[in-house]
Amino acid sequence: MIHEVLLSCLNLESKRLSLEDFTAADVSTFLHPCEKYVLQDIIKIINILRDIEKFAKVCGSNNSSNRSVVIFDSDEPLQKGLYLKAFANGIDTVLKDYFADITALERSYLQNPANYSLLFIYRNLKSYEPLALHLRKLIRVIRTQKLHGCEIMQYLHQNAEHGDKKIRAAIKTLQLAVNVVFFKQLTHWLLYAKIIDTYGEFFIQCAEGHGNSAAESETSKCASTESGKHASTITTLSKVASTYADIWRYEICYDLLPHYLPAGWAEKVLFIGQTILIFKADANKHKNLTQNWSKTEHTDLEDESSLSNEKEHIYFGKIQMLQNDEELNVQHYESIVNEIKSYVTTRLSEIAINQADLVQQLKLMKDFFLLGRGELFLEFLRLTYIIGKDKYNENKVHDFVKAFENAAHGVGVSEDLERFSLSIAKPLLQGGNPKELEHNYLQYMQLNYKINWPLHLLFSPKVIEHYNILFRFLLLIKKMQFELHMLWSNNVRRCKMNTNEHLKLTNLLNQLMFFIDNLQYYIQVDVLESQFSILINTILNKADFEEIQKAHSIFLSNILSLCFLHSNDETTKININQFIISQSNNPIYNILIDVFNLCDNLSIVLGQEQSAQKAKDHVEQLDERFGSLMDQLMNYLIALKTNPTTTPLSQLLLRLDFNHWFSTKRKQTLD
Amino acid sequence: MPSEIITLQLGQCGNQIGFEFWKRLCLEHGISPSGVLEDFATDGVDRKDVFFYQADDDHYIPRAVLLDLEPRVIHSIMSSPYAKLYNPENVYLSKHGGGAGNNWASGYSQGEKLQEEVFDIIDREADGSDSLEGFVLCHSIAGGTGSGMGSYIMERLSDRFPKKLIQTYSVFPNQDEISDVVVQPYNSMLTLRRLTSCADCVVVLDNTALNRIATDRLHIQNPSFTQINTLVSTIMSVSTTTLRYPSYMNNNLIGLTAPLIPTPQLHFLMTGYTPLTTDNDQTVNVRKTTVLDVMRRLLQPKNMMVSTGPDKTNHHCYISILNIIQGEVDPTQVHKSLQRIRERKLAQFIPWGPASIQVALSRSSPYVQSSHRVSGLMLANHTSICSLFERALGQYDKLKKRGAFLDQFRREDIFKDDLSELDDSRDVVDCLVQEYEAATQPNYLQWSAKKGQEEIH
Repeated sequence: MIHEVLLSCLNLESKRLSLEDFTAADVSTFLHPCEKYVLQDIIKIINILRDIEKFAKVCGSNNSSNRSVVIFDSDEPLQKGLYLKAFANGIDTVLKDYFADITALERSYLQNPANYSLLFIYRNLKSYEPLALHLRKLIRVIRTQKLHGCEIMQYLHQNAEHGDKKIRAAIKTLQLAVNVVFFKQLTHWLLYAKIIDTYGEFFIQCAEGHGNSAAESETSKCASTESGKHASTITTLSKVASTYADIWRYEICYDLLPHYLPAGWAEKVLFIGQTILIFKADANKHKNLTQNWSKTEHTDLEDESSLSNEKEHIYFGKIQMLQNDEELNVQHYESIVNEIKSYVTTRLSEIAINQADLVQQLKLMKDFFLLGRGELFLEFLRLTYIIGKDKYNENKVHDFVKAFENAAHGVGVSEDLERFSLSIAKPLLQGGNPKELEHNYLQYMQLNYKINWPLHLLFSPKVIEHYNILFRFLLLIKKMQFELHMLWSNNVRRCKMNTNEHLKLTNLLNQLMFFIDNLQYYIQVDVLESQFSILINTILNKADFEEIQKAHSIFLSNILSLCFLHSNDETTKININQFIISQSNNPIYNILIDVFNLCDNLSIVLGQEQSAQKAKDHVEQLDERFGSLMDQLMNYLIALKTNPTTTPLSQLLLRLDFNHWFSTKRKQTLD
Repeated sequence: MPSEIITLQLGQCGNQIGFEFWKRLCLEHGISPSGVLEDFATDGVDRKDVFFYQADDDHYIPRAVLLDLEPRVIHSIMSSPYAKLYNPENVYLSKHGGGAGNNWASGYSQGEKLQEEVFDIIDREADGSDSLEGFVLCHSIAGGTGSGMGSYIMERLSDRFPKKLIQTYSVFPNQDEISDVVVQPYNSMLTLRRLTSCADCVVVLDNTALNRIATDRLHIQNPSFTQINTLVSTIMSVSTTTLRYPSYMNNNLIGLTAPLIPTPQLHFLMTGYTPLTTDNDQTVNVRKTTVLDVMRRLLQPKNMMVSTGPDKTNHHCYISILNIIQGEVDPTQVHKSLQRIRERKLAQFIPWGPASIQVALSRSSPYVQSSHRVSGLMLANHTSICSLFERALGQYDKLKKRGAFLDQFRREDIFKDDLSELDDSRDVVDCLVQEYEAATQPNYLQWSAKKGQEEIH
């Protein structure tokens, strides 16, 4: 019977546990009641081990016919994955000790069967019980919480500390087993920007199409897993090269990122991969062109990969070292990734500055997106002003685009049209009310920019969209200014009528013009030029591409916030003509939009042939409204002035309230 | 080619400063005296088309019309290396060549007689431009041709092109020296009336101040016309620099002038420029040019190109200011400078509306080297400019009381019946002075409303 017990201990995979027969009522009479309990305990332990073994068997098998694994019939199927498999194999390794122990026990039993008692076996088995229980717990959690991919790493890490030496060693083994998979994927990503991740387990994931139809068709092979939760992708080099948009499809999946690795680290990893993708994309695209690059430092670019072979070996070795680390050392992770990153980014910034003429490109961006070439957009507005007077027709959208091209030709910047083109988004084409469209064409405008390789990392689609938000805002201000100038020219200039009504209008117009002008001076000098000079200085002083990228995103977010465009509500649209529809949570932005509405109304009122009385009433209304808006704005600006974090606002306040006009008026109304 | 500007140069003074202005523009844009683009002047960064157009052979021709009633200055221009620059069809000399004899009335009636030929030229230039923005007139107000003929042409321009801006660079006579033109006060008064009613924006170039600046600031004992005109051409070229080297704002004439002129009558602008140096000034440059320094110096009366005399009551104030700053400017300094100027109360502003110092950062020509890191031009609308008109009124009254030299005026058609034109002009200028005085008071808007009512009744 003891041998039977031993055999049961060894043969955990058998269909049923023959040992259980001993507990049957008829057999148990042969056993001492004590022994009966011991036997029951043994059975309990063996059953736990059987469960573990079963799990390891099923998950660790190479059978890849179906994607999900059914371990226990009662359970939901568990998603299949490399990490799970590694984990299961790890369990096998852990159990090896146990098997060795029991085998030794059996051997000595066979030599001397008389000396063995059930209790002795129990004692030996009992030492494995805590381990078995712990393993079962791990497995249960993995099963019930459906841990997947890198989540398993995270979970193991959480349970790594344990008082029991045996358990701690076991978990270490498991971790090592799982880490092998992780490092394999990490290496592939860091060195080749490839993700070998059939089951969607790595913490960098390739997101499904971002609405970019070209990219979508290219990666149609990106099939989602049945669970639909994690997209699994087999991305091959050639596909990546086919479109730059692809690099933005890689994202960090923070759920999958083990918590002990900082998010910043993961971002760096992502960045390295993207950089390499950029290199590769170019290498493929310009396979022939690259031959022309005479500079020796770029010769290795002609290889498929960005890293020279020599470097590749070094970094490969380093990542291997990480894998062999006894203890988890996050700093080590960081230092190696930093090293690779600095190598890659230094190279990239060299190329960006020397080949792609980064500084020049940024100046171009400023000239176009930030209206640095004021005369171009002035001419554009002049042309659209004329078009705007025409009746609505189907070609109007086309006319606007044409106007941009004409304006560019007019002021002699046509060569830049190769890079920049204006498009007006679809809603305008489908829109119902033609009258509304005329006023709103601005908000659908989109400036497109052809990006120089390898600046794609800098100007992601999201960045370009932000530039476009700025572009629309600045263009709107410019439009308002243009219309006010037209009003001034038609109504104020050389007007000898000094009637009361006319003075009111003149006064209102002056104040509006003053407001818009100073807003523009604020944006131009205090915001755009100041921030831009900071950015350019950073670029000229530093060699590291990531710092350039960082400086650039700081630049962009600063100007967005200083232009009051930062709002959580993404859907906010600038809507002229109609009263407050915008729901931005930036109060100053709302006031600005109200002032723009007011300008627009004024120009409509003056454009209409109206009786003097009616026009007068309108002007008075608008005057009052402007007064109250300015009061509001002053309240905000003065209230915010005391806050040290909002010094930029005091710049706007200084410009608007230079001779204390608005603040004195505010005081008078308050009194 | 949008927003073109046509320059009209009238009379001896107008042609001289115009000539210097074009010389300067050619230098800044890398255009040779014969109108050919220099090899070093690569295309792209500037806009030459505002002031120039290109002939079929691609050489650049100024949009300039040169008018005079006597040949001396125009001949000297046409015998200079720049002779080939101008379109010869745009150079108009009256056939008899006798000039206007420093007589406004003579210039005015000759302008009337010659208007057809003159406007043939102007119309042709206007038709040749895509979207003409306005005219710039260079003249003096004291002589005969620039003042008289200039007045007539201004009147006609505002009739014929009501939608186009008319800006003038008007040279006011030097008060420190005794003029050889005895009827100068009459001429000035009559021209001032047209500048008030027909022009949109008058940049006042006061010879008194220009001479004083040349002697005091540049240490030239007896400043020559050329030296003075260099000052003038600097002012003219910098004040148009945002049109020629465009950036975010002030890319057209209207954008430049509209914010400066809140009420239509108050459109006389003063200028200031710093730092000033001459070519032969070899002294070691001890100046520190920062944005703040430049902006502060621009606010000092001694740098003003208009001599307003001491403001005893200290009530005059700025209606508006535009500073055009060029050079290596740290944009973050602008705000600090504005703050400092406000703290120290270096500039007083009108009490009846919002006003501030607008600062435009402008690019400058890469072909003209400046020894200064930062330089700046101020265009200011300041109420103290009325002292200039008061002075003119005083001189006019003195002369008129004696009834002196009126015979030469009676000879011309406009004064055939009576001299009411002179008195009307005086009234207009007097009103202008009153308006400037009123603009220093908080109740200016009510004042002008009341005045408007009086005019109606």
